[in-house]
Amino acid sequence: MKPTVAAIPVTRADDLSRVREAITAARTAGADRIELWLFGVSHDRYRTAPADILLTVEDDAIPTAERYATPLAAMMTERACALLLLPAGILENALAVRTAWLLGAGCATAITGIAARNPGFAVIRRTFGMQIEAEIVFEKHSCIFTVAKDSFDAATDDGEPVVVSSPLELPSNLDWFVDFEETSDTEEKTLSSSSLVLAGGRGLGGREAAENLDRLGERMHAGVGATRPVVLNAWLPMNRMVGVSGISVAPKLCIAFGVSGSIPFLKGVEKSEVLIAINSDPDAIIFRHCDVGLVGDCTRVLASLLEKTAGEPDHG
Amino acid sequence: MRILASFKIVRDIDQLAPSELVALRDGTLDLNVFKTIIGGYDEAALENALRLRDAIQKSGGDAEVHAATAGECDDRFARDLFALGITRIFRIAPQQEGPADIPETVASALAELVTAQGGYDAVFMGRQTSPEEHGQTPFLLGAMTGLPCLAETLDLNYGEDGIVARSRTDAGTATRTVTRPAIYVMGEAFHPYLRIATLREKLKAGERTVDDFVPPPPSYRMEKPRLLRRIYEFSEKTCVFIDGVTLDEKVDKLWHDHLREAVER
Amino acid sequence: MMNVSKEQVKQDLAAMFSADQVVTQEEALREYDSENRNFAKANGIYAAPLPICILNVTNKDEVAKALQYCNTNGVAVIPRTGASSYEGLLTAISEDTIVLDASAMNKIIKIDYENMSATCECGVPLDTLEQLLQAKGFTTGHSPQSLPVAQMGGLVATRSIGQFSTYYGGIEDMLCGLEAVMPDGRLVRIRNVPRRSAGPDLRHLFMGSEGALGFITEVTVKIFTYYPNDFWKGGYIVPSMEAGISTIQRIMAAGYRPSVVRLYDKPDFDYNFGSVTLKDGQAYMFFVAEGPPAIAKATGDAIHAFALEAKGEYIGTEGVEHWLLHRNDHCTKRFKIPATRQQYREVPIFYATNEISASYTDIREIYKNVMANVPGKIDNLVLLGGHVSHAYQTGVNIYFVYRLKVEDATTYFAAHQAIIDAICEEVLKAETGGCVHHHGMGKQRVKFAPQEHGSSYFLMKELKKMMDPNGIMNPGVLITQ
Repeated sequence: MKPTVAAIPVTRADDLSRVREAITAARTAGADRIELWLFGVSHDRYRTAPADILLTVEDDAIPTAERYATPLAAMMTERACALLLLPAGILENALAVRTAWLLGAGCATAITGIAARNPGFAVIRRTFGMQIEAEIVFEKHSCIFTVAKDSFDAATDDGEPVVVSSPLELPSNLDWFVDFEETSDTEEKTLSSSSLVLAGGRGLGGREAAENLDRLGERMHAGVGATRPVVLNAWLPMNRMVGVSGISVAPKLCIAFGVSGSIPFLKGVEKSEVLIAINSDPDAIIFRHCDVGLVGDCTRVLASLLEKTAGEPDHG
Repeated sequence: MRILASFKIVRDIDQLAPSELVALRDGTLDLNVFKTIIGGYDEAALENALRLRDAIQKSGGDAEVHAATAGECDDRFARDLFALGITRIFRIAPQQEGPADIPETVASALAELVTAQGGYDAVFMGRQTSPEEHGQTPFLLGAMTGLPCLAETLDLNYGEDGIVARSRTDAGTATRTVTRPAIYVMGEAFHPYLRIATLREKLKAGERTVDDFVPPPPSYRMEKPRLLRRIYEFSEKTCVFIDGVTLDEKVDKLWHDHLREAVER
Repeated sequence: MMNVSKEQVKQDLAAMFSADQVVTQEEALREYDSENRNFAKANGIYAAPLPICILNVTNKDEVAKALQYCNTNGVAVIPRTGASSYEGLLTAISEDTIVLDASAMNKIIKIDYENMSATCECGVPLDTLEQLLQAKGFTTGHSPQSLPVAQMGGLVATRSIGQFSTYYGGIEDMLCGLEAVMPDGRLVRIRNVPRRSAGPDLRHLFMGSEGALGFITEVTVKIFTYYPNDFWKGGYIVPSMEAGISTIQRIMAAGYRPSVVRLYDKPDFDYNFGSVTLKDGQAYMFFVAEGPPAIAKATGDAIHAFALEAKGEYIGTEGVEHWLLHRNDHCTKRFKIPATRQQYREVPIFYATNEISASYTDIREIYKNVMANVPGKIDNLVLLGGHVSHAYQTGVNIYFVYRLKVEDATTYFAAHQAIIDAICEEVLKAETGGCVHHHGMGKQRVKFAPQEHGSSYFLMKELKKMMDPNGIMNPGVLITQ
């Protein structure tokens, strides 16, 4: 069995943590050798990345999948690479597919798991509106995948990759559009994508406690949601409503303050990995549907937690 | 301008119950009882194709929209689309192999259609289709036809310079003037819903027939993805209460055992 | 009518209750009637009067205190619990109104398994009670499509009915007793007597009162033994709505009581189900039979025989199982208010329904006439269809469903009222036609109250005068102003 060489193409918008996640994916896939191929990106940021080699490709023009696909395919062949892993993104998904077609390779986007099959790979990805996962196998040892965010831990160790300039010249003509202008968006953290969610219910009692919840959310970098009674009383805005009539959340941790646990709310948070409920009523329905329970006055717990997080920056 | 919008009639699997997910995992879920709808992103594709046509016609130009689907197309969908002014609907003979839809199959059929029809100036497609949601077909079509793809198109404007498109990028939002035929890949677009014809408009459109298109069998280049299994576990939660005599004790435990780590992350 | 200023009302209530209980924020006030007029609100049109405040109460004494204050000072009161109603029930007709919200009164007081009843405060969510009961092998038998959000007080005040009513009955068959507060603050308790002949049944003064005669604070409903593993299910394609209606009539006349009886015409089916292809004119009919195993089986067998006799094509049980699981998805989608409103802005089409009822004889005429005549009267109809969902010995309901395109949102209310009027007018031509089956007349169909009640209408007016002499309780419902 030839050693598995995995390469991670890196483009301008990629950030270090995403690349480190891809490195972990490569290791999980049994890669013996990991290369970072930097397209139009300075190698400075990646100098301590835990990879064997940094291959830099010069590029000044606007990155597009149409421009990068052919050179990427050539590199994969030339460097006897079994596996390309790109951080999933708009450019990367398009690039992965086009490159795979050129090479006749296997392809899957936004994978959340990977395993070596020797030969070939098995990957996991979400399907059916992200409600169920599929395990897909490729028998050939030539695959291109994009890696979904937060699916692999970012590799924390450091390395001393050899830096090499690739002689490859990328085509610079952009013959399908002109007058390109791009504006950056500051990443809007939405409630439905937060990995930590605080939810407030009727037990908050009023606006003041709801504002405290918001403040705690900022300090804990959490999304803050509310039940229907809370938004009908405008203690928090309507667009924060969590539940079957509002937003569904799937965080690693959800903490419900003063929520009785009506079924619509529970359905909205059922994908939480861990649900902690704080309620003064020991018989509250929510205690039948959570992982951890605290019987107590949620407004006092809130005040207590605000004290504990007092060192954190407060943007309120 | 000749515009093509591709769409797929899918089952509405938006809110699957845990029992259904278990049945899906075990291969016993009958999808035929679910409501049929035009796939969400395909609605955006159809709507934005029509909007482009409207904009071109408004500025005095000529434009027509064709639609194509690789799969079933019930009469009621066809009637609606004709009533909205789509002039031809191509039903591509289904050629799926295996349990998981193969993107290369659909892409090559569409590529054949595009060639057979003498090319299109703009092709609109949804970024992915239910239920497997591979997200590959638009880019494969691009590779096969040599058409560039504008991923995550938000909306299009039509003016003197032609098509000015806004799209989402990994950094934010971009605008560009598109200078040659392209594929517009629709994700969460600004206008995501397909307009709807009234009963009178449908009556006016009269009886139209869908064209059947039979492409040659595809010669696959890529390895076909093989579905090994579906993964789903439904876990019932059992509550462990934090104990303590005073509320402060309980809050301390809550903080140390559960929250501190989450915050530090 | 109000003899204090709005500011005074806010101050007085904040003094009588805690400041936190009086909600005056604009965002809360704008959404006080929740999903009513969603289409207009999506386009920034808040044409109905806004209330002075929302007062959240936590027990019956607070309800009494609030009502006494409002009764003395001429402040109109709109009772609210689950906030899931349509028909303008929650919408004020004047700004001199407060919303009295009792959704915090959410204690389940007692579940009595020996005497098969459950007693709840008015703010108990039906779904919560139902889940608790099902865990023990029982059910309320009550499953309106608003199940995910409705609460007990409102369910009684609207004379609601659920999807399994043909077996379990409507709320009128389920209610044992109740407690309510009169506008003058007097507490009324009607005991849970199984059956009595002690004068006219006073429970009916409150059931269906639409918040106009008193404030229901506590209800006791029957509970039933639940046999979910013994459901009989069957779906059939029938040649026509007529064939379906006749089949249902024969099943009911023979004495069988399935829990679910549903018959969809093609337009309604295509829009709400769309799973199988129906030919023009065909209809889709399905049933669920429940109860003790022997009864469910006997009922199912009989239904099957009747359906085949009517040339029904049996298509199995999967479609019915699917409906059982997903029957309230539509409700949950509608209550995703921000998303629904965005959709209304993008595609100016709204979906609404009007549920009506009549005898078997009359319903055939009504269905035919509505389908034939209404499209001609209404511009921009996108869909018109109907389904039967509740059957009686003496007739059935029909839910007419429609979608209307309204390019100019300022005309939305008039456009909606026009189609409501067109349907109700057809229904009231029939001797047994009732133009409101279970949503409550609210403010949208109250104009038909005189026709609906005919020579008995004056009794409704007298009742209102007797129970709410100062006319503070939800003005605009039950009787025309």
